[in-house]
Amino acid sequence: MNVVRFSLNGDPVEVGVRAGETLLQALRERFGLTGTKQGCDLGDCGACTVLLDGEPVLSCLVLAADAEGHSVVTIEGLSHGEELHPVQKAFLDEGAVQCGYCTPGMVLTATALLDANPDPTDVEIRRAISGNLCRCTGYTKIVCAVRRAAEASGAQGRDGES
Amino acid sequence: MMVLPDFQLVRPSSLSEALSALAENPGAMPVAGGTDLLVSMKHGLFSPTHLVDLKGAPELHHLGVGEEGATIGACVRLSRIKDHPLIRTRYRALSQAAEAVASPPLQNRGTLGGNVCLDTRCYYYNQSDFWRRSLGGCLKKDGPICRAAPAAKRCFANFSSDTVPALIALGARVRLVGGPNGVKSERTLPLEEFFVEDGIKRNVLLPGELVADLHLPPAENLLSGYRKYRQRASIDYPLVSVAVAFQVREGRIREARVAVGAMASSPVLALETMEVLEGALPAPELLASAAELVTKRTKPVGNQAGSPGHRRLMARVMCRRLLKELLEAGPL
Amino acid sequence: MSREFQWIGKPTVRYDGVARVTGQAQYTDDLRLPGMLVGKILRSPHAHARIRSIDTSKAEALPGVKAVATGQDAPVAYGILPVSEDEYALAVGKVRFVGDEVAAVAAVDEATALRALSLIVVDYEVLPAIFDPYEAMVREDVKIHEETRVANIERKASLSFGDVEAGFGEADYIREDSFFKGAATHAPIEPHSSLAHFQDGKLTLWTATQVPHYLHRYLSKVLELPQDRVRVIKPALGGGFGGKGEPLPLEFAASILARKSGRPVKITYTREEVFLTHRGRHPMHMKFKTGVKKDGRITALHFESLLDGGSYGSYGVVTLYYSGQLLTGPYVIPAYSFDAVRVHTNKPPCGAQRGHGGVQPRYGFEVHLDRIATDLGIDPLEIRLKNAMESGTRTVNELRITSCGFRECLERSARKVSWEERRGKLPKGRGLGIAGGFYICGAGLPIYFNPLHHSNARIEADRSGRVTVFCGASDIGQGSDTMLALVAAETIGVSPESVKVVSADTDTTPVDLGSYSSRVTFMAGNACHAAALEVRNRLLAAVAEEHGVSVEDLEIRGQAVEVPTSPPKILSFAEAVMLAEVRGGPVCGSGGYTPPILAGKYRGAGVGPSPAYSFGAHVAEVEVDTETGEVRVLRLVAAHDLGRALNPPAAEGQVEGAAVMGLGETLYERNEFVKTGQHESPSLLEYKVPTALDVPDIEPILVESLDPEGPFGAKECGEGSLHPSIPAIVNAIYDAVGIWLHEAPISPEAVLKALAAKKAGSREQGAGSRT
Repeated sequence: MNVVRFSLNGDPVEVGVRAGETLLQALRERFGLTGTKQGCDLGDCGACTVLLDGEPVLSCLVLAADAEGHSVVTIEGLSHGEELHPVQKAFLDEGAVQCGYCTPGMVLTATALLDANPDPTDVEIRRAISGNLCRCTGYTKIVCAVRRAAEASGAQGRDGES
Repeated sequence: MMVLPDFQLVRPSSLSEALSALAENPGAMPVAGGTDLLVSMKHGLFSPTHLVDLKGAPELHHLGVGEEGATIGACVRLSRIKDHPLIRTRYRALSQAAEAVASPPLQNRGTLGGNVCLDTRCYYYNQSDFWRRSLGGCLKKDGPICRAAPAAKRCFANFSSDTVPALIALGARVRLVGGPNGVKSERTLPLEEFFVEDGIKRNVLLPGELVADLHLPPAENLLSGYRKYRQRASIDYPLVSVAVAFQVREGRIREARVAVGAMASSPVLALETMEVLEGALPAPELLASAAELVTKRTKPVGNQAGSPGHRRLMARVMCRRLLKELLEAGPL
Repeated sequence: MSREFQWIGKPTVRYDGVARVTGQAQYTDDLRLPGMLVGKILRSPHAHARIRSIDTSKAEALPGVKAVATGQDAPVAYGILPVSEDEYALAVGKVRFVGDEVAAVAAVDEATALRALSLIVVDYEVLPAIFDPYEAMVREDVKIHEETRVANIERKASLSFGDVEAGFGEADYIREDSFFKGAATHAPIEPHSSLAHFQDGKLTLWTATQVPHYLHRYLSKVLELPQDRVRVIKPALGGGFGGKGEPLPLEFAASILARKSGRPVKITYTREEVFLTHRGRHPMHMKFKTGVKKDGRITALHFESLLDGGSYGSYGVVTLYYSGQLLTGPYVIPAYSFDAVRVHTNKPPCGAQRGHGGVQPRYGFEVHLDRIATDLGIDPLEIRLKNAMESGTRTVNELRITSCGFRECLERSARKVSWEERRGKLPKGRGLGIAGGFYICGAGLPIYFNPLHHSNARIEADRSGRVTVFCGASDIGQGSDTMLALVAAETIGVSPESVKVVSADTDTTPVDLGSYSSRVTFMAGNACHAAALEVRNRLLAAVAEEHGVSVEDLEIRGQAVEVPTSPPKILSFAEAVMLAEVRGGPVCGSGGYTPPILAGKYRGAGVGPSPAYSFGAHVAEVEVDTETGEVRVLRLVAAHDLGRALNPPAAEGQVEGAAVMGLGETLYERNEFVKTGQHESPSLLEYKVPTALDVPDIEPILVESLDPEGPFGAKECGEGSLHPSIPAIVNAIYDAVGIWLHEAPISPEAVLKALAAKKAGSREQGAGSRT
């Protein structure tokens, strides 16, 4: 067992993990954070995306031990109580959620994109989510949702300034 | 979930500690991003006794671009290379290649060293343990023959790195450290000499030896680019890739370097194409005839999607388009 | 229903949407029970073999192993169709494809379970295997199933309607073409998962299924447990598309292991196992012969199909009939005949995938029709309009067409791309293509014969003001729970937020046959509507009685009942419920839906009839790179007649997703096998589900034909909307570069080959003749 200390959704955590344990396994099985989904376990689908130091990574290909000293944000860490993150809200309002299995990974990827690039073009949005497969929506409404979230955040920013 | 075989994780905090750990444990393997190795381990292709995590070695994270060229440490992540403004302007082929690797979340994790040392790939090899056993294994791992080319005596697994053709076109040299001659030993060689045309052996790394960093020569007036042919616009490994770099001096192409990926078990330097280009005036017919020669030294076999003939054709098209695009666009 | 709708036709946020965007939704693999074991399945390494013996003793002796199961633990045959019950929970006697399920173990953790699998010794007698359907038709020496009478032919179907000979005789022009549509697979992002718990002699199975009811019956049969001791619960489900539409080996294996071990057992498939489980699109070899008048009016059609069924029956017999029966629309075909054959091969079983049965023939026919139009110099849009079927008609094979918005689909999708100004006039390499389609809104008959309702709903209003819908319908991501909430809310007059939906639990919800054949909105929606009306009527009767007014003068709106006394009185909904409860106890309503008897009198007439049909037309705009053969879809306009859009964003989402799935299997997805039977691409790396960069923004057009029998006029929208996308793309490729592609999926290599053949002036496939 390796003892790993890291920040998980803003809280300091300490956990013992096997050397061969992936971050995905640790999140789901040790922390009960089942919002992070397993779709292929081989880095091909993006369902297990989490934010590691703010960047999307595939937790099925990250050793849990590699979280040591870093910050991990999962889908559970995005909303505060009943208050949804603007990206989550946009996904809901736009109808960008069908089966929902790709949704946590999509939402986190989109969140990281908007943090780095608050006003992305459609091509930039599509490129950013191109490692997250969705089999239900055909992506159209997901792209709309990300754009909508960007516009909402932009409007909020402008309101804040005025 | 799939199970990784048991191993001990070693997390050294310097390069020398990492080299010692590798030297002490003959069954150890180094790991950086893990985006390829962990997949292979889940497939049962490797079962190292130890994984030596290189990310803790600060020496491997250096990224410097200056007048005397660029130096990029093995553990520099692909997304950092892709986004680096000076790499984007001076070494565009590398920036494009980093951006073409797998998908964005994997670029956030995968490293340049890992991509340089990427294992060769084949339909019959990159499969689960169940799948391979049901077929009786293959030469590369544990079987009697190469399933893709049963008559051959060797493994034809495909060289699949995106960054390497770009690096070779840009004239990269690779610095290797450690190995059986001691943790202090070091050697530097042109990147193309690092690889061997053998799907199993792949490269000249000695046991315990590591890629420390890559050095690129100065990029003054350098035009470069990378093109990748694959089925989807993301996630996929290349079926063909072409990288080109050259300068234009007094209207003539100079110091042209052309490298082809995914068309053999190692990257291929397209010497015939380079020869035609050298000193030439950039006329369309010349570009076409230079591109025609780009597959001369390639050896694609039927171990990927797309027939070998189609992939050859695509290499020529990619090469011609890339040359045309670079000459039309000019320096950034 | 003339009053203005409160909710229908306006965007409604999906029922469990917040749970899905916050990661709280619990899918089967997210569930854990105390003492839970991990189950794993041992699979056949051979494509075809007899099992001489299985020795599990070493596996059983491994510390941490709590149960081992083989076929002998439950040697009871099952299969989704009663006519082809040819599967076992785990192999009995034989294995028939690489990956066939042989044994299963339950252990304390995954590593132990895997180690135990490696300790099971199976003695196989390897048999010759067949992978080619033409070979399967004639090989008498190799029998994949002993029961087949002729070679490996599982079933043949031949039907004829109208005077086909006369139809061809009347034709001015007859054309024949052959097509091949390769396999595709569902590839939902959620892998299959089942969690079984056996307690007090009762089995509870949480499982990712589209058909809790059918599974319930088969679990009872295979486990030899009375149905009242079996409970199936479908948690949140991450995509089905048909792949979770029938009882599957893991569901039996987990149950058997739970029973044997006395502990909860969960089996979640690896991605590779999802590919091996398959039940996806049948590879289909097809021939079309069509006669037309000079002006393009169709006089007769003859169709032949050969279906490569893989190793088991699955939904195959239905696929076989659908392949023929669903060609009599959306065009008027006065005379029609077909011959269809399904064979067994040693590959994973094919079954139902989105658009089931009609997708492959639709691809072939729509391209065939474009070829006829081209031969005759008629615009592809015009030939379709000329032959378009209309509402209130009957097809030659006796399908009853109620509402039909096909013409509007054609016209609006064409207008959206300025068809007349642009088709045939774009620069070389660019082209437009159009195609039509239609699909059932649920099958007219259930899968096993029974006279009961196909859908049932029970609704209760309680004194909290809440309305709860209990319905067996299985939300697989398409949003059927939202649909139920919406229908109940609109019917009763409360807000959808006040409606709770309890669904897909065989203990607590009345039967709905499941999410397949695009039946849920139509059938469960109608059942829910009926139940809700009963609740509404009881409430209003109570209020009317209490206040001495007439029921007709009452209306429930915005969570309140307005009573026209003077002065008028406003009752809260909860108060109204209490008035009703005082008078007659709990305020419940129930409703059921059975389709009218629609099947014709001929044998085989049961497959095809549906209470209503959706219609669609897609227009694709493509760009073809003539040097690489790559095809890029620049635009895909998808018009779909769904009767009425109950929740427009959800309906658009269905249409968009279906169009992209069609695009995927046209240009990217190949489900093939190496020559010894191993799946060529059992991963999401090698099986090419399109990424966000490979598809355009889909442009949906919702056409509302208001079906007289659908709930609020609604019809299906999730499956029919896939049909036209494949041929629309293929027809657009012709407009772009002048080649016809008679095989899909289309590789860049195939495009280059066709371009080279065209350049060389070689004879094209297919032929027409003037008569």
